Amino acid sequence: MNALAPSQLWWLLLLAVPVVLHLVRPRPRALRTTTLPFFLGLDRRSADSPWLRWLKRLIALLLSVAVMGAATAAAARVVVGGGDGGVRGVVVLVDRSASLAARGDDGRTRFAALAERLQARVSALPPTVPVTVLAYDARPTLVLARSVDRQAAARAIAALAPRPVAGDPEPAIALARRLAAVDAPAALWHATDHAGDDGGDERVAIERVLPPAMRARNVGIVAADLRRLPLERNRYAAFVQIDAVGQPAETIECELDVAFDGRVVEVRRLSIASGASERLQVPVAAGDARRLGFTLRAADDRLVADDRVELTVPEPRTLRVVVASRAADPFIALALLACAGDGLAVETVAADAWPTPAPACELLVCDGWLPAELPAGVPTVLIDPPSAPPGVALRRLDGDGAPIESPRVIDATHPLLYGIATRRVRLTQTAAIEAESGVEPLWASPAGAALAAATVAGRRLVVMAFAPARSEDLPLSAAFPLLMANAVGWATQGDDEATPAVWRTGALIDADGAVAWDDAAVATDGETRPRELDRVGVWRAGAAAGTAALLARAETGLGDGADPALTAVDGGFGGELARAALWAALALLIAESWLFHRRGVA
Amino acid sequence: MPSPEAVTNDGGIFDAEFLARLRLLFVRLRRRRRQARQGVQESPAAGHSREFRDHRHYARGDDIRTVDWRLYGRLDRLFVRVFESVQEFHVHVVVDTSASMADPHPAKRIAALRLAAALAYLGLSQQHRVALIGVDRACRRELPPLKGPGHIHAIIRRLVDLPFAGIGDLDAALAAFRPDGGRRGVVFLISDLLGGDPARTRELARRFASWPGETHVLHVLDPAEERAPAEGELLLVDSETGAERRVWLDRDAAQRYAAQVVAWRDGIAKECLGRRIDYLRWDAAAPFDDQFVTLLERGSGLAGT
Repeated sequence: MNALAPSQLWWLLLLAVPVVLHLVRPRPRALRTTTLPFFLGLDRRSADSPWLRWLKRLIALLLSVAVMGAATAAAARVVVGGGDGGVRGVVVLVDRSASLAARGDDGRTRFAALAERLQARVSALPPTVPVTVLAYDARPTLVLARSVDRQAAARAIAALAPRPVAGDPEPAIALARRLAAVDAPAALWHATDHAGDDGGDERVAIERVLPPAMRARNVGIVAADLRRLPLERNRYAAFVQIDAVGQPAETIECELDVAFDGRVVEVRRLSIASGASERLQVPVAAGDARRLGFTLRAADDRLVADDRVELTVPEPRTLRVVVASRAADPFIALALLACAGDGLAVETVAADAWPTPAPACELLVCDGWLPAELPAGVPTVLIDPPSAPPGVALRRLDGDGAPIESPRVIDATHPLLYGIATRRVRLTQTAAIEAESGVEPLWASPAGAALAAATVAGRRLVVMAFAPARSEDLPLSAAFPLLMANAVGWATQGDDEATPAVWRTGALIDADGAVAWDDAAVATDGETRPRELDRVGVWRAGAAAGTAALLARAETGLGDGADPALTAVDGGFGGELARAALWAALALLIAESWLFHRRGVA
Repeated sequence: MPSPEAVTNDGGIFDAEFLARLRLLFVRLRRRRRQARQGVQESPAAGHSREFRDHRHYARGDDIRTVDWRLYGRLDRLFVRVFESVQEFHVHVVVDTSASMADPHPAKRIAALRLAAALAYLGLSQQHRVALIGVDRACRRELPPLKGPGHIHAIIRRLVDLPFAGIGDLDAALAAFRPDGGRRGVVFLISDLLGGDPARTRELARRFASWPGETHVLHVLDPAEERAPAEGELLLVDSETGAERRVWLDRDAAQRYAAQVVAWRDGIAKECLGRRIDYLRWDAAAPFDDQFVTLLERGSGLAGT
């Protein structure tokens, strides 16, 4: 217990006045009377027994002392500790991630209950203890820097709200610990809905402040992605994973709407057991829609932030391929022609007429020829190269090469070998690829690797150390067109992955203006800087555009931290007692008046 | 009629002014009485006086001096003369001499003494026999029955010497008071009727009713006795017994106290009225003359009305 105005404690000396008056109380005025029997006929209160009179006097004395003590406490602004544990500072770390937006049966969010609890605890702190308020979801944010203004702290907490962003507590706790260490020994109140131990120490005692328990029931989309189908261009498959959280052994019925550009094209009814997941795949072609939307609907769903995902479907693209050779190989042309349906535009250029600079293309296929300098950054497929390309060690075999039957597969899972029956492959190897850093051999023979995939200086290279036309029946089998299609697809794969189909909320993008959402207009400020995607939906920022979704299992799970015994806000007792002391003094005065003076002479 | 200035004084109780007023009262009363009727009080009983009333046959034991010898000479039978009986009128002035009559309200003592003196003066002036009785716990005949105005000196001196110090117990004291049963008389009880249990005070009326002749209860009270003395915590000391009691008086208790006193006083008055006993509350702080005239006007053998 401390006093903010200790000089006012001198008023306590006045307590001696009623005590002295009580001890040296003058005898009551003696009065001779002739009618004493009439006075004896009055009630007990007027003529009570000595011990009762002594008790009344003692109570009156105690009330008087209490009134003066309370008034002095109010003047001296006495404060008492309210669970601060003698700390010199308190850092309040508030989790405002999406799961705290879950609403209970009473319609209030868990965050509201948590904020109310925090405000009560903060207001109960001694006024001399500074409070720092940090909020975090994907990253920490300083809300209130080290202040003893309790009203400012209360306002700062009240101004917070949960955001549809997944929480990342680690950097926030680390920052909060550093801030708390300034006032060590300090307390760190981590207000979150996730249980656990943050590992406090002697300098910073960490306590988790949990919201009241809530009956969890939620379904949400925790993962979504759009992947190009193997060997197919402009055709995709949207993968969606849905998690369900409910009571044990409960099965949650929900509906998933699939929409193309906002138009519902399919409704799937799902039954998901609590704690289980459901994975779905929806095929989509590039031309079908620009936006592929998934919306979950379930009864009594606690969290809405995870019920919606919008995926961006890439626009159909035509891949420009340049084939350069000294003599055109019809098998290669046929194999590339098989891929034309996926948007391939093939241009054949004679090696002798190779222009300088190289023609603009997105894939270069060199057949039995290698330019002096490969075009920068262009994926390249080298077929029977006469020499080693940059970054790859190649050794030509003597003569017409070595026939190879059923080359040994080094990595059967590589995309280049997708769908190829290698055991039926017979070819004539003309060179051996040396295994070096960045080069991944796929087919091997006693002479060396005959097929390799390499990434050199950021460019993907597919090296085929054999001549199709001179191989046995490779050009006539299905393996060669598949290999060419796989080579085109793998070599150019990076183009499709440049832009994700969906961004997770909380991600930062570089934009020259504020992020505008499809349901709100935001003016740009002309400044290019990182912008945060803090909402679920379709966004655009300058030239960039995309969609954002929560996609966080931890948030859909609604957290596992709740205080089942907590039914009300536990504000505790503490803080400055000035107001309470004044009320106490007033109440004591009223009590004293009622007890002893309510029938007094007016 | 003695000179008022010659009367013994005591602190101004019987000063010249009071006695002059008393004499004036007496003159007025006598004048009014003459206008109303003449002579002394008559009695239906036969007695000895100069006024002949009747004859009757002689009976053994009659006074031989009352035999009418002339009638015996004519009728040869003995007759005795019967005369009008003129009985003496006895005035019993009973004064409560308990301490409560003087402490802490001395006005009550003054009022009681003046009242007793006035009644005695009135009785003596009318040739009545006036007896002075003092009561507290016991009944004391302070002076034997006196007759004639000249005894007023003795009565006043005795009044002044009354102690007013005892513990009052009217019930016990008046039990020993026996007014002469065979003679006409009037009893004036001058008292505050305090002492003992107030609830039993009304029973005194029964004792008053048992007395022959008129009984006048002059209830002397000081106005201060009818209201609570003060508010707050008090140490009350009984003026007679010295008993102490601490009380805390507030407005409500004061009101209930006053109500109790009024109820007690009215109860006594009602009881006296029911038993045809004259009751008069005598305000010790009020002017004496007005109250005394009121007393006489209420009808009294002493006043001749």
